[in-house]
Amino acid sequence: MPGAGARAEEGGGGGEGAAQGAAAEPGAGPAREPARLCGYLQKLSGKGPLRGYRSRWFVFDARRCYLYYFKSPQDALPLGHLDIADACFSYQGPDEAAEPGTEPPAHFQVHSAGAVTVLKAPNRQLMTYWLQELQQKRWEYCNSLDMVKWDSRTSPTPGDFPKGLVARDNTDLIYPHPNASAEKARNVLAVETVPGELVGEQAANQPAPGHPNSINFYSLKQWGNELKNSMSSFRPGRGHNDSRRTVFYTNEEWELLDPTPKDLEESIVQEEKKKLTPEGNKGVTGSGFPFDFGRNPYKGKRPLKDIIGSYKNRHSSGDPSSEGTSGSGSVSIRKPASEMQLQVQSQQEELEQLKKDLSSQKELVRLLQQTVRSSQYDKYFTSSRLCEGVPKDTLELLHQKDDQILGLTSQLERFSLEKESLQQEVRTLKSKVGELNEQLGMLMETIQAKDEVIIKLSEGEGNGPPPTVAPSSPSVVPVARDQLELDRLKDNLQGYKTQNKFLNKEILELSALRRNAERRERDLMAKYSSLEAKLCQIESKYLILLQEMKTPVCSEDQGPTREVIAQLLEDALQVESQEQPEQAFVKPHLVSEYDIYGFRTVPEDDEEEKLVAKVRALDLKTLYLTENQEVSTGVKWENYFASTVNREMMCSPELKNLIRAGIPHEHRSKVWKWCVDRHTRKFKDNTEPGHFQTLLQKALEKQNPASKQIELDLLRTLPNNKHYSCPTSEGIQKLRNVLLAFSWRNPDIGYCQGLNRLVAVALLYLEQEDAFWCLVTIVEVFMPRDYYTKTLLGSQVDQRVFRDLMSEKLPRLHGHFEQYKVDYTLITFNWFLVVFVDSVVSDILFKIWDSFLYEGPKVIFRFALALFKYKEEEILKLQDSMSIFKYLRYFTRTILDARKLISISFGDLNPFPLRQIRNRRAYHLEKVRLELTELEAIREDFLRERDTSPDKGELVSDEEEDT
Amino acid sequence: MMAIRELKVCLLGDTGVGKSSIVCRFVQDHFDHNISPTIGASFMTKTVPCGNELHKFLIWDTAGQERFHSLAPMYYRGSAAAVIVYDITKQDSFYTLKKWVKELKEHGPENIVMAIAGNKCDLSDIREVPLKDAKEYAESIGAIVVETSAKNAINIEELFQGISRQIPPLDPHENGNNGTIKVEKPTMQASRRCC
Repeated sequence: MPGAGARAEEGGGGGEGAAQGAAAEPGAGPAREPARLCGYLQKLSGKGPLRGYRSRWFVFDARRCYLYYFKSPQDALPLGHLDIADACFSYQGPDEAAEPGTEPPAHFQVHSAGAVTVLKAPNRQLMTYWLQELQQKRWEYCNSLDMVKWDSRTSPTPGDFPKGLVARDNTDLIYPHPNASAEKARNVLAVETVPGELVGEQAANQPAPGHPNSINFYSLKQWGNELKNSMSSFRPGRGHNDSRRTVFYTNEEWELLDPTPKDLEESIVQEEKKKLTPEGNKGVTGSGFPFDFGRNPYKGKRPLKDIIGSYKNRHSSGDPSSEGTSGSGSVSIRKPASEMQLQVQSQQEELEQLKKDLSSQKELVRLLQQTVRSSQYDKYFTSSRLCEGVPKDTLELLHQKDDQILGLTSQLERFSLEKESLQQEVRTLKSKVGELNEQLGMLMETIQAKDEVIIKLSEGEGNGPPPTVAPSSPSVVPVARDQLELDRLKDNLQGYKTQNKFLNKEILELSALRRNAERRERDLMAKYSSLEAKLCQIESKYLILLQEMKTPVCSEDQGPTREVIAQLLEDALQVESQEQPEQAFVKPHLVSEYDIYGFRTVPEDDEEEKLVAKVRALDLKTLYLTENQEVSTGVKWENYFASTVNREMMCSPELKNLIRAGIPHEHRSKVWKWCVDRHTRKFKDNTEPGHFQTLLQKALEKQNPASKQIELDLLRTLPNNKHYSCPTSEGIQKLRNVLLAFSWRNPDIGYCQGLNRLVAVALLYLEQEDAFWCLVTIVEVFMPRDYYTKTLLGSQVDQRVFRDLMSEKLPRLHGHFEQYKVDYTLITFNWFLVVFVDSVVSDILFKIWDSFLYEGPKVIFRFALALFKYKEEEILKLQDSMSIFKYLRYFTRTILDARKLISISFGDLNPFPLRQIRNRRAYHLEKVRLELTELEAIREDFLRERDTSPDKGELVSDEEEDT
Repeated sequence: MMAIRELKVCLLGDTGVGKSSIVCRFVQDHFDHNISPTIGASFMTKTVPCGNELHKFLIWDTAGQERFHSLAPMYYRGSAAAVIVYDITKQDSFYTLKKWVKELKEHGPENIVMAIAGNKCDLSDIREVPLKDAKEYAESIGAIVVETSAKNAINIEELFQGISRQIPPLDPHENGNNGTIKVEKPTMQASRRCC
């Protein structure tokens, strides 16, 4: 007795569960698959010294509201997961102590299952994106738990940014390129090493790192190079050694210039060398007197040329320095140094030029002295000859010589004066050079001191900007510093505002979720109380019966008591058996008028009430079995999807078996779309993107022969489904769009009655574009040619093939039909043309479609044979054609046990090779084609007669729509 | 015990003229604005008295779209009668009717009874096919003609009664056999009837 009660109770519970499930999930349209939330994050893991961030590939799974993480995007098995459904999120606000310019922290905490997980995003922006997305996913998932009771007033405040735009912008950043990560790591290292190598040789060889301070570093390096280039101008002829010199080499260079006495000694040595050479020349030429005399005017001109050349050199040497000055960097530092260098350089050149002049003048004096000595010798010789006898001629010559001697003496005196003047000038220039040298030394010391300051600042602050070298106005610097501080404070304020906004939203959402959970808990408590009350009632009855049974033992007369007890037991059983079925029977009607697909559950055909009653009885019987089967099927699908979280679905025996058993309602949209995509990939690759929209645009612009028929059939499609029951139903417009687009894509078919039902079923789980491709799959991929064209040739051929298969697989039944001349293809034609729409009950219809969309048209033959085999015995009992036809009209709707039907389809009917079907199709194709040719001939004759008919004009009609 | 004769009747005609509505009205006395378009065929039965016999109609309702014409032989083969329906508000449907008549005469059963039904006579204000034209054509082919309205239940019963009267009687010696349909001496009764 308690067992019976328990069973009734379970049945009732099952009914309630089913009803609640139906109510919770109304026949919603197909939901579009959202873009997958995935990307690289760093997870804080390890303990003690091993604790640190590790890069992981994160994928969010919407079915369970889990965030899985993998070692790499190619992995199939996750390392672990976070439960987002009961998680809360937090992150650190902007750090005021951080140095200006540093990246704000990009890590956040996920508090879930009593543990805190720290995740780190590549940057702050991506962190914000992840937090917003996870927050949204948690909200959507928790609300789906009690969809019926969802209240829009409890919605949280909207996010900081438009979700679509944010998602689109951040999606590109979610998949960082592996090299990019390596580049960032390299940049970090570069920053650390730069201070140590700032002024060394290696710094110059390092490529510029991608760091915010690279500009400052570059200008500093440029400045150093500029200084080095300027120094090199003092060392002509040593350009090839510049790359091996350091900055400090300049000091050595200046040391060479300091010891002036050494320079003079070198000059003297050079002078002595020059003296020896002319003497050698004189010995060779012998009487070179006229030659020496002729050279004097030429040598006198040399100083002028040298002076001009020196002037030109000064100008040419100045230009490179000017160009260098125009480079980027601290101009205030470089300009004084450049000017000083320029002056020193020009003065040095001038000094050298003057040295040359002095040497040449000395040489000239020496030559003149030689001339004087030579003249005196000649004079002596002339005097000797004059005494010997030639008085007049010799006397005149003597007078000329005397005149020459006087002139030369005068020149000598003048040149001596010039010599003194030049020597004085040389001394003056030397003193100037000394002064300039001192100034340059002081400048070099200043530069060195500033270098040291810069080095210290770079090492100490790292990211800080270099201090201003040039002294600036006292009133300007404080203002600039305040501005920087103000900007930093503004950034911090903005960061805090963002964090505050996020935390407020978090609090609001968590509060709403807690309220929903409390409401759910109260409902469960109420249900528990109700069940407890029923349990008490049952216990009470049991106790009463037990008490009654005790009484007869004490009394002497047991006969009448036993009868009473038996009566009580029988009454109790009857009461129990009557109550529970009635409750379960009535409840579905009260709860929902439509099933999860939108079909009306209360049939309107009153005359068939008896059959309907039988249907209900069978439905109730099946309910319990279905409940258990659905649960186990759901578990299998959950396990399968868990293995495909990080990869695409693929064809496999496992998936095939799952689909054959039926796809759960919540997964059907996803799997159907995947099937359709798989079958139409070739078509989609060959057509331009937006093919469906293009066709639809074309269809809306003008009509075609199919438009009229489509319009006529729209409201005659699944009229018992609420999505298609009236002109304003959502499905009607989508149905129109898909059928019109297809009629333009495939003008050979255009529109065939029956296609409307195929599309209507597809639209229940697919968006209209996917429903369009589903129709393409069925008509152009699955079905043979001419299945829906002008003559329905393919459909008729399939009926012949089916007859052959019936004869082979179900010979007794086939013989029975033959005996009573029942052509069952009159019924089965409909099954094949519209894949059982309007022929079987909803649950079975969608399970057939699950297999059909995955495996193709062979499934139709399997299920058609299975339907007959399912009721084979019942059909064999019927003994006249009228009864058989009447039964064939309704029997498919009396089949409710999908599991049994599927078992027959994919088990009992095996083997079932596709090759056999193909061969039969080819054979019957020719036969049917011949038969159709005859009919076509009749129609052609009729058309010919019509053309010659005088009544032709009267047959023209208006294109008026049927009201 | 009255004899029961099973008569196979098929409905033919253009799409949307109301073939299914006529059958629904006759069998169930029910009208639905949006019956699903017939795919292939649909099968219903009804028994009506006729004289001293009971006539049990096996009514096959067919799809009207033109490409389904190639299936028609499956349905009118072995039929005792054919009801060819047109819509009085659409001239094209009357043209399609003539095509069906020609096909039945050439390929249909030898002694098939033909009945022409001009449906939707409740919409006579937008009529395109004059009743006169229909009567003249029916007379020329020896067929029953009647205008009907499945919506308002006009002339539906009369349509099938007319068919019953047109069916040739069985031979006297076979009168007692139930379930056997045999016609040996066809007699053509060229009677015309109009409402």
